Amino acid sequence: MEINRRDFLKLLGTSAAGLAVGSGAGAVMKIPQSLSPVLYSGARIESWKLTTCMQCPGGCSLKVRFIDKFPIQAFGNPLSPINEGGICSKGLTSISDLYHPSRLTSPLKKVNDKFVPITYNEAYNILLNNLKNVIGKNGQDDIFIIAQTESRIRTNLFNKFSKETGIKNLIIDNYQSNSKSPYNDVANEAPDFIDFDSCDYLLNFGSQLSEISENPLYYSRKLIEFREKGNKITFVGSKLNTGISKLDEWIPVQPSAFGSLALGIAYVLLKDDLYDKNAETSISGFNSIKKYILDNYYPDKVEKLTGVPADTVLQLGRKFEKASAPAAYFDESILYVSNGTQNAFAIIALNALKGFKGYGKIKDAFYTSIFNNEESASENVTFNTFKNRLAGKNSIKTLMISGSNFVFNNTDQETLKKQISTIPFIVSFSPFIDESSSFAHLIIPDHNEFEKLDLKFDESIGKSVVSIQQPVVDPFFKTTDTGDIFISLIKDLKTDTKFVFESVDDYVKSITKQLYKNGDGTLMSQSKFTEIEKGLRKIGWQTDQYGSFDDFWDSLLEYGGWWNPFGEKKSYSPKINFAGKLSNSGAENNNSVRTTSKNKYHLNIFRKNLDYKGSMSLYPVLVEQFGHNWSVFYDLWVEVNPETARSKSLDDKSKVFIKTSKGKFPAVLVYNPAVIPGSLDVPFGLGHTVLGDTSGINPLLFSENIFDKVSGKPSFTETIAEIEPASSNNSFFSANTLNRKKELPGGTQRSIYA
Amino acid sequence: MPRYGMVIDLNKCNQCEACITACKLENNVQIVSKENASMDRVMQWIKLSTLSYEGNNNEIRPVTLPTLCVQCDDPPCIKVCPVRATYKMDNGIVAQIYPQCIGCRYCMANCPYTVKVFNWYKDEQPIENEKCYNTDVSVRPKGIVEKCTFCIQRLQIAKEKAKAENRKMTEEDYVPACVQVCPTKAIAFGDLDDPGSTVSKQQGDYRRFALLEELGTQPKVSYLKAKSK
Repeated sequence: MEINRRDFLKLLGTSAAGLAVGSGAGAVMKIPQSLSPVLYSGARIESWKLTTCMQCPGGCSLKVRFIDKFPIQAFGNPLSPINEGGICSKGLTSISDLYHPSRLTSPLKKVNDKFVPITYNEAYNILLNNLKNVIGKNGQDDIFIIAQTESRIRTNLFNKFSKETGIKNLIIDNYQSNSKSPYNDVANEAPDFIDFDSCDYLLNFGSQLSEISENPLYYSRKLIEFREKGNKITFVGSKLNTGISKLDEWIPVQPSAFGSLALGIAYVLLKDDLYDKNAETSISGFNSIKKYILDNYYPDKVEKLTGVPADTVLQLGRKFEKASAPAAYFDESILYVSNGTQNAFAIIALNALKGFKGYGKIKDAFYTSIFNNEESASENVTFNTFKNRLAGKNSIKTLMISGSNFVFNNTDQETLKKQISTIPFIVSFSPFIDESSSFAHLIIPDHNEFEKLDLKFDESIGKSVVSIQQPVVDPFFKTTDTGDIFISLIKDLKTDTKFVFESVDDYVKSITKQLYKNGDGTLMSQSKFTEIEKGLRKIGWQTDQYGSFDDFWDSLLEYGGWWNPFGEKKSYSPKINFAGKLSNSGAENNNSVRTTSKNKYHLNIFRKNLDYKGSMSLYPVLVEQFGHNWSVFYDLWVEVNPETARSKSLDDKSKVFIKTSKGKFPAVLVYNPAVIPGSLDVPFGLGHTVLGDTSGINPLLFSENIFDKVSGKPSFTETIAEIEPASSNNSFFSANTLNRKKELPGGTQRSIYA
Repeated sequence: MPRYGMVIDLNKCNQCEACITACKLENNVQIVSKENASMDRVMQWIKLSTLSYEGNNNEIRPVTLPTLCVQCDDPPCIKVCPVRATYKMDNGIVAQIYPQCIGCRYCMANCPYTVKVFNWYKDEQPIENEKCYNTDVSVRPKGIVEKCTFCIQRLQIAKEKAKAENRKMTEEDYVPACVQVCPTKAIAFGDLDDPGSTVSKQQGDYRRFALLEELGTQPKVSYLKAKSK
């Protein structure tokens, strides 16, 4: 079911009168009635508040500028150790989300395929009664929760809900957890950070560290410092994104072959006998793994598997073995290929051979001290479990969606849509009607991020950081914090619950109280400390003194967070048990497509720094800016190596069709020599059919149904595609695209298609 | 009187585009429609372009350059303005009196850096952006040429603040939005005539270059070339 903006308005039905949707001078501004007098006759008084950006896993501290009661701009907080005053495009535009015309202003219930507004109590009772009914029939297993959040507080709340109610089918999509899950699988714990103090060689497997990563702004700064110290960075990937061009060497490899390359490098270490001998005891079954690598990953074979010349594999191996503290790095992005988790295991094995010297752990990290004993309630439930249930006989009775737009972010969307439309009850907590929540029977919209209280924990900078996300404005509309709903549900579904907190505020404050009692660290009132200050601190000198917890709380809100610059680090030296998972790490995959077939290419879908989970269309500035580097606006483009393009006689900026087994879609071709030959690289993020305006195409619609076997993530890189020129009068192009040319004054050729 | 200038270190710039977004939001620059965008009418006071690629194979690098008004000391744009809407201030900033602009676009044609943009249509922003307008900056009407002003509104605020506090303005008081948000501190801004300022010191850097200096425009925005490996 495709839903365009017009359908979206229809879908809203009678509630549309109360919702300002549209644009232009005639549109009603999306603010509460009560604030109108302030808007039109306010005193124009400026004020600032600090909060934390939740647009990505980074957790940058934001300085929000207010005119009267209205937040109008957000900048970086110069005193935050994470972003040190810098801020990315998403953080800058995050305020506009608050005023988005498509924000839902009250709970909605679907009646005759149209959403009608209802009160919160009505909505909550519908949800509660449904859950009581299903659970009453011992149907916990028929309930699924799909959540996407970067907040560990929220993750813990979902886990608590799951434990208390016995609903085991909880799928939480969290960048940090996803990145660390391969480590947790084989080592029971993951490293906290890349130790830039000791690390002298970074071998980056496909991570867009300064664009989309656990901490993009911190890595942006650190990688520059890292290179200025004379250290080297090698990037392994199919495309040299502009944001990762600050490196020393690029090894063009398709992501499916990462594991083979990592084991090829491991081969060199083992053959040269220059690995860390502690690995013999830290890796369970070391000798058999050594034999497996030596037998299967010799350079010539790795060349066949990966396309990387044997000499280059040897050179990489020598660089890695010579470095005193190398780090082979991967993050969540590695999972978007069918053998993603296996590739991650291979990279872990490579790190283990050098004793993980490039990584570190924080001694007595605050987060670990609070949540160490809290395990996930549903460790083995992945998106694959959900899909298998949808396809199987045991139907799902209830689906709860929070923060996730899994329909948009997946391949095989048509099947997924058909299957979820058979679920009898879907509740969504999305603040917008998006591709997933449009299937809901009930929507209880969540607050905007600027209306919520939360904490963001971070260890990736090598220090414990706790940033506070404070509600800088009162909720504009009749929305409810999803965390509060889950807490209420715990209380109502399990009367003898041990969960004592009444609200998210309560829960956050209880954790903050432990920070207060802890006494370590300091507020974010200073981002750098001199050696004298550190020395004084070691002998017990304390600058931060509070009369009470309330004083501490107020100071925390004033400065935006807490961190422990004096905390110590320790080495990361886990026991590794691959339990047979290392074999076949990529051996069955190769990128031979480009060498064996003339008209068959890899369709590589990449994420751009402006987009994180495909939600960019919420921000008009970002949509306009998306392809500006190529002067392609509001349309999909495909980046192709000129060698590949010329072999098909395709010109730069020409219109083309990309053809896959699922159909074909138009794109503007741009030459990019920093793309591996034989690849067609298209950006992810465009093509929303519900959220705001429609621009471009979602390439996942045309991707084959290939998924990582462990995590269930859709493959972004293994679809085989063809490329062909498109004639300008081809009807496949949207009317918009064709009209543009007609509208050009005097028929000049100034359009992007000229 | 200071002479404001800017130096962009291409070794530190990682093309994150935050400067572009910050500029757009700080200065209430219009977001144009899809149709206008396709006619090259996108309005950006600072742009990031991939000019070429250096090196081959594994050592290939995109050569990217953020471009904005270079605030010439001898600006070609002001020489052709028939109504003197654009002029150079004492502090070196090339400013524009919007109500005086008649939209002839001579200045755009005479700018060798092609960094000026024209308001082709009445400002009709998406609601969520209208609501976030920066109240310190006027919205330009249809038919007006505009460009980077080094966030001149921030200079005015900094002056007023320093005056209210009975002190001299410092370098930290006046920072354009692009400089403020840059995650890698790749953009330095300050008084070129102050020997102690970062921008002044960077003028002597062996990596420094400026665009089209041979035209005699004396640009006050310069770059530090990215270091080779």
